[in-house]
Amino acid sequence: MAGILAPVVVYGTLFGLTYVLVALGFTLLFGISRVLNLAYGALYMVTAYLIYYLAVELGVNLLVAVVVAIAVAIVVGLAVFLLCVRFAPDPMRFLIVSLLVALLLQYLFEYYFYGETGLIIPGLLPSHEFLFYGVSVSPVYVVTAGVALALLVLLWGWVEWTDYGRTIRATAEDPETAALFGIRVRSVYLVVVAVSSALIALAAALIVPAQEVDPNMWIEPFVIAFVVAVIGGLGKFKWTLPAAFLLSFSQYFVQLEYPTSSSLSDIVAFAVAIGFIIVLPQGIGGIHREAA
Amino acid sequence: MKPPERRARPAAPRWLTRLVSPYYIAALAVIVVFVLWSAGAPTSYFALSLVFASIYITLALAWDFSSGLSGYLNFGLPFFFGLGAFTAGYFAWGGQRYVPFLLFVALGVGAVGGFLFSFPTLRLRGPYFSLLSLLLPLIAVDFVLAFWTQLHMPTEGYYDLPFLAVTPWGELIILSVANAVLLTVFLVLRNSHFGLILRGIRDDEDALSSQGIRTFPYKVLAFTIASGVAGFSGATYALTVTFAGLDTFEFTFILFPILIVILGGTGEIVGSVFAGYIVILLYQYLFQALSEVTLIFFTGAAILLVLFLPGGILRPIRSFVRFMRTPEAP
Repeated sequence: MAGILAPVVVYGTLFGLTYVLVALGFTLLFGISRVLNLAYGALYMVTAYLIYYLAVELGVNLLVAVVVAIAVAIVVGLAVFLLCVRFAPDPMRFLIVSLLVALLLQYLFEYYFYGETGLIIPGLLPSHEFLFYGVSVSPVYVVTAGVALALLVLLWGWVEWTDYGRTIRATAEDPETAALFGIRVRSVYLVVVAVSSALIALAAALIVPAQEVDPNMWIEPFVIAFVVAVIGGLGKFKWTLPAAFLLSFSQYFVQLEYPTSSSLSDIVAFAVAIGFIIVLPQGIGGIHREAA
Repeated sequence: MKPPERRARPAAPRWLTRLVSPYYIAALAVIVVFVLWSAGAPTSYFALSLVFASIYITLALAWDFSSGLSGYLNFGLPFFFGLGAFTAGYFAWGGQRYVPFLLFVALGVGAVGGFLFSFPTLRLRGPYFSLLSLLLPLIAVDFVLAFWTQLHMPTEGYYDLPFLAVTPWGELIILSVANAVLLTVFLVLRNSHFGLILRGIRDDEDALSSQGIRTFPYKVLAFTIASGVAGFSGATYALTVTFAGLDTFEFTFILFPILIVILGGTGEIVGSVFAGYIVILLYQYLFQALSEVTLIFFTGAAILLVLFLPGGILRPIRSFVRFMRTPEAP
């Protein structure tokens, strides 16, 4: 029994925590600013391509490349946000602009790298796998999972227990009233956008060495972030962890059932999201509120 | 002394008086002019470019009617487009090679798909519909890649489909007639009670609900119609290139409709015809000179358009005409 369960538990947990890392920034940003940023996944792609370009093509030190890439991702995230807030304030146009930005980046990278796919970037971590309860595990995912858990706790602490966190929560509750109490709402938004961009960029720096770099890679993290957000309840930051586990375990069970089919995980994610929207549109966070 | 009363002329039906505007007539004229213009060279690059322009105009009309009017953004347009293409491919590969039948089935399957998708997702307000619709084309690609053998596909798609018409010019005629009909139908619908409610949903859905109007059936109906049209459009595309493949799910089939609709003026319907020819002809000829870079330019232009000219080209023209018509102040 343990022989069958061990890989399910190990992989389900590791992928679940990876999903937490990917989804955190999206949920944080939506929870606080009510802005749905479709360019979120594009930041993941920007980071991966920049690391590839700096470390592989220019031969820069890997750690420097990672830091520069994360910084650029933050700048791009802030620029998109500022441009939209200044010129396209209604949410409908924000959605369109952020989708177009993601597409623009995709086409740019496709053009610059001649549509080459399967580019590999060297990892910060050793890539040889080790055995854990009879399951071979890659150190990349273990470290990613650890970082995800640590960041979840840190962010929660930041938002719930610090003075600045109270400012953030006040802004999320009611920006106009918060402004009346002397909170600089615009700067709170900017901080949250920067943190959210940094989170997805960090996720890219950790995860991408285990994958390949290609121009369509902005889609996957966006799907994960969005579906996790729907399961947990859009913007309900605290429910990211259970939601990510629910998604990763259901994907892993389907993969056990149909091991030959190549790419069912997105279909499973979509089905879970539709199921939640029909049965529980408020997500898992919604049940809690009804019970309380 | 009372002036003699003028006898009222028998009134034309309201839908007709609302439909026939200078803009509508100009749009029909543009469609006819392009058909006649390319008549001399039925297989030229110009005729082929016009065929693609017409396909994108069909898509843009469908998108403008549903998303432009109601404000619920359907990013899943490539899904319904591809659904139509694959439906046509499936039946053609099964031996049904009669073109009108293929177009009709694609229309029906697109509409059913649109209904099945919008029914659960449009019950909720807000962004759920837009975001889930964005996932649709991605899911479709995964689905085809995983199950193409079970779906009896010869490869990851269907090749060797029947041609829509013998020459590109013949295809252009079919597509132009379809666009003229769709333009008329969508304009009549836009000016009807149904269209009024859709525009109301965009402006203030809560206000409509508080008037006791259930907005849900109207939204679902609008998206069912639009998805059907997108399916039809996908079938015409597949029969033009005689291949129904994964490229029909690409995001260019939402990028260009959005660009066209915004340039023509969101919710205007007529504007999509003018903007469609401008955008696609420009793209086709720039592509010859600049190849891949063109797509980057157009995406960038779309971003600038949404940010700085969200009203499009038709709205400034309209306000200029209105300005010229107003009598001068004394």
